[in-house]
Amino acid sequence: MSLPVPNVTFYERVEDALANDYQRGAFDRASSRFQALRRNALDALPAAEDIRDRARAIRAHTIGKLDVYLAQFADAVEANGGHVHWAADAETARRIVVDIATAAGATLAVKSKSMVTEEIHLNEALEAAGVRTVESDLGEYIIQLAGETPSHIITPVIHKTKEQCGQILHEKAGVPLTDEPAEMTAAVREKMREVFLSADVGISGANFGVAETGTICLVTNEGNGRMTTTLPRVHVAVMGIERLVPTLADLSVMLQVLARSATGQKITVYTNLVSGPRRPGEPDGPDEMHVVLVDNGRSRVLGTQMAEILYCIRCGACLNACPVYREIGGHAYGSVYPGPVGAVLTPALGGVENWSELPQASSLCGACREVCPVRIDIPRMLLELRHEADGAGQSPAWAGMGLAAFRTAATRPGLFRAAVSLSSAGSRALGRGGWLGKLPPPLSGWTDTRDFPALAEKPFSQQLRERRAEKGKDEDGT
Amino acid sequence: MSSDRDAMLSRVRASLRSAYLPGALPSLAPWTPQATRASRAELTARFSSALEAVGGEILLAASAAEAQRLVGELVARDGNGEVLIWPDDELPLPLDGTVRAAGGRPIRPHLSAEREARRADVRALNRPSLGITGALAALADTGSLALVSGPRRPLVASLTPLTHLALLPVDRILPDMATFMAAHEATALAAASRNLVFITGPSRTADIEMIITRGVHGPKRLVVVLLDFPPQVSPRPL
Amino acid sequence: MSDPSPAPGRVQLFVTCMIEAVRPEAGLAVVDVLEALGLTVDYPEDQTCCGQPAFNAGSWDDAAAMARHTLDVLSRSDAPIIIPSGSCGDMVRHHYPRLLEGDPVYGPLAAAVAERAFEFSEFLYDVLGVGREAASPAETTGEKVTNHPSCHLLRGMGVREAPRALLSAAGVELVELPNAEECCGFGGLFAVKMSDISGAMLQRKLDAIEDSGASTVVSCDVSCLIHIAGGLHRRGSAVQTKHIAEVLRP
Repeated sequence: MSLPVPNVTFYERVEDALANDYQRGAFDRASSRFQALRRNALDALPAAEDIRDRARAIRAHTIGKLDVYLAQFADAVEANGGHVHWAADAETARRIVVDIATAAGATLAVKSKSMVTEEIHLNEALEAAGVRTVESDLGEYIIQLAGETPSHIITPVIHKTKEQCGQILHEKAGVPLTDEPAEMTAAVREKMREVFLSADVGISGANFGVAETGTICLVTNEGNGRMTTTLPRVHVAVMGIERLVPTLADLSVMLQVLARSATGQKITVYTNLVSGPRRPGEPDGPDEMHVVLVDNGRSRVLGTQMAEILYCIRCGACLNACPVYREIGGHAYGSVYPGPVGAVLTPALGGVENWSELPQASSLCGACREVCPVRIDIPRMLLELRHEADGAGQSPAWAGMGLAAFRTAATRPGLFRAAVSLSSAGSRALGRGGWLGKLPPPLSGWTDTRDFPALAEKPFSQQLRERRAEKGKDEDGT
Repeated sequence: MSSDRDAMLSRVRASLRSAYLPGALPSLAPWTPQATRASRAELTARFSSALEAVGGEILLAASAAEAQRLVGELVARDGNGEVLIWPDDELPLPLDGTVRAAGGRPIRPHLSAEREARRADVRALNRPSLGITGALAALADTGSLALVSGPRRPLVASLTPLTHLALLPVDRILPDMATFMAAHEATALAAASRNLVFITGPSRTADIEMIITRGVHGPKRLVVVLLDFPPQVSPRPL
Repeated sequence: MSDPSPAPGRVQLFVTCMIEAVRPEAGLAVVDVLEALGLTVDYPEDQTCCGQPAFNAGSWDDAAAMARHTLDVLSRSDAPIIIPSGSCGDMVRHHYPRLLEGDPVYGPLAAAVAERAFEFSEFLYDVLGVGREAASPAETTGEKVTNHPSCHLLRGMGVREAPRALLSAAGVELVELPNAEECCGFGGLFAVKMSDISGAMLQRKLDAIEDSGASTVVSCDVSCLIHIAGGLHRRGSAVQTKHIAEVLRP
C-alpha cells in the first residue's frame, strides 16, 4: 500500500500543466488521434459490442474467483518449470526481485515496459543492490534518461518534442544529436541491442496471465518484450495479482479489444506467450523463469466497492477519452497510473486520504466508461471515493457546511423558498445587468474564468402560480 | 514460500466475501466467436492485405523451385554471410542448400546451459542479419504469423536479425486467433513448449511525437513467402 | 427504441432547483410545450432539489434526505414525472435506487419513481412520438442553432437522438457543434473546486460553439447552459443560450 505522494500538491501540478502550452497541445493531439484510431478499429470489428460484453464477463468472473485462478496459475507455472513468488507488498516484491538478481550474479538487468514495476519502484532497489537496470522500451528509455515518470500509459514520452527527445538521447546516452525519430530509433536499437546481449536478467511485466496454462502474455510493438524474455538467462515476470484470465481462448477475446482500444491497431506487432523457462532441448530462451505476484493493496481493494477497477486491462482508452486528462496530462495525477483509471486506482491502493483531489478532479462526464473495453464504471467509483472521503471528514469545511445548510433548506420547502428568495436578492444586489463578475470565496474560482448569472427576480414556482391564478381569474371572469 | 501463498490466497478469499463485483458470474457461459466461412483464396488474400497494411512484405511462390529462388535472392541481398535458419525438416521445404548456393552460411543457434558459454552464444547469434523460419499457422484477420518454439525451432531467428523471412504454406492460414487456439490445441502447445508468438509485421514504435519508425528492437523487415502448391513433405503435427 | 405509447393525460413537473432559481423562463417554456400537446401539468409546490450536489460531493446522508423528500413529493400521484434536466433525470433514474437500496419504504418508492421519470426531450420523443418527422425546408425559422448534448443526458440516460430530432422538427437550422460530446466542464462543485480545469474545458467548448457559426446554443440541461452562458458573457459573445423547450415552444 505504498504509493509515494509527490512533494508538489495536486493544484500546483495542475497549474504547471495548464501553463505548459506545448504539453497541452501534445496531449490534445494525442487524445484526438487515439480517439479516432480507436473508433475506426472498433467500427471495423464485427460484433464489437458483444466482444466487449464478453471481455467484461471474463474479467469480472476471474476477479470473482481470483483465489481459485491464482492457485491454478501458480500451479501451472510451476508445472512448466517456473518459480512463483508471492509478494504481499511493494517492499517484499522489490526484495524478491533483488534476491533473484543477486543470486543470479547479475550486474545488468534489462526491462521491458511494466507499470507494476514502476508502482513498486523496483529500479531504484535494483540499482541500490548494484544491478544496473535499463528500460528497453524506447519511450521508457528516454523517460529513464530524463529522470522523469511516464505521462501516458501507452506513449510514455508524449509530453516531449522530438527535439527534446533527441537532446536527452544526446546528452545522457551519447547519441549523435538529431531530431529525426528514424535516426533516434536506429541509434537506440544499437545501444539497446548491446544491453539485451549482455543482460544477466530480463525483467518484464505481464499484460495477462493465463491461469490454465501458466502463461504470461506480453504485447509490444518494438520487440523488447521478446528480447527481454528470450536472451537473458534469467527471466522475471512481475505481475499484479488481478491480471489473470482463465484460458487461452479467453485471452484471445481480450486481445481482440486491447490493442484496438489502446492504439487502434488490430493487434500489436508482437504478442508473446511465455509458458515457463525453456523446455529440454529448446535452443533459446531463459533457463530460469520467475513470476512475482504482487498484491500491494489489490486484495484489500478487492473487498470494497472499488473492486471493479481491478478489471482494468491497462489499455489507456479512458485517458484518451477524458476531457480532464486532455487538459492536465499524466504527470498532474502524481502517480504511475494517470487519467480516469488512476483517479480510482491510486486512491484505492494508496488511501483516499493521501490522494483526496484525484476523485474530485472529474466532472463525471462518463466518457471513460463509454470507451472502456471492459465497461468499468469509473464515475460510480469516483463517487464512492468522494463518499469515503466525506465520511472520513475530508470534505473542505465550507462545502460540508454549505451542503448541510442546503440539505436543511431542501427538506423544508418553506425554508427553501426563503433561501432562494434571499439568494436572489443578494445576487441581484451584487451583480450588474443580471450578471456577477466576482463571486465571494469559496466560490470565487468560478468567476476567475466566467461570469455567474444573478438569480431570477421571480422563481419559476411563483411565476407559474401567478400565471395560473391569472388564467383562473380569466376563466372565472368570462 | 507456501505460507506466503496461503496468506495471499486467504486475504483474497476474505475480501471476496465483501467484494462488489458488477457483472461477475460464478461461471462463464460458453462463447462461440463469430464464425468465418472463407475459402483458402479469400483467407490468403485477407492475410496478405492485413500484413501489407502493417508494413510486412508478401512474396508468392507457385512452386518449390520459385520459393527457393526467392529465398536465394533475399539471402544474396539481405544476408551478411551468416543466416539463422531452422533445419530443413522444420521448414515446409528444404533451404539449406539454397542458402549455401546464395553464399550464406546456415547457422543453427543453440544457447549453452553454462553461463559464460551462453554469453558467447548470445553474441554469436547477434551477427546474422537474416533469419529464416517456418510458421505453425497464420491469422488472416490480423495478418499475423504464429510461431511456436521447439527443440529445433529457435525463435531468435525471427527476432534478432534485421530481416525475418518466413515460409508459409497457404493452407496454414486460419481466420483468426480464436480458431487457431482451438484448432491447434494451444493449451497442449503451451505445456509442451516455452514460447508461442504472434508476429504481425516488422518491429515499430510511435513513441516520439506519435511518428512511426520501424526496426526498433525486432526485425526491420518481415518477408513472408507464401507457398501455394502441394506440399513436398506432409505438414508435421506438433 | 420503444414505440410511442398512448399519451397520458396528466404529468407531474419536477422543474429542478436550477430552473426554479436561475432560469424560470425555461420551466415556463416546458409547461407551454406540454400543455400545447394536450397534457395537464401538475406542479407539486413543495419540491426543492433532487440532491445531486450533495451526492456528487459524497455527502450521501444529505443526498438521501433530499431524495426522500423528493420521492415523497413525487409519489403522491402516479402520473409520469417530467424532468427538464439530464443530470437530475440521471440522478432520479439511476442514483436514487442505489442510494436508497435497503430502505424498506424509500427503496421501493425510488424504484417506482425511476420507472416513470423522464427527461423532457426523452419524454417528447420516445413516449409521445414528437419529432419523428423532420420539418420541411420551407418551414425553417432561419435561426442557426447548435445542440450541446449534456453528458448526463447523453451517456447517463442514453438519450442521443431526441434533442436533435426535436430541433430539426421545429424548423431551426441545426448546425454541427465540433466535438459536441465533450463535456463543457460544469460538473457541479467541480466548477468551483477544480475551477482551473473546469475553466479550460469551458474555453474549449466556447471555441467550438463559435466555430459552429450558431447564434444560439441549445441544451437540455440548464446547468450546462448557465456554465456556457457565463463563459460567453465573459467573452462578450452575442451567442444566446436556450433550454430546448424555449426553442420548441409554440
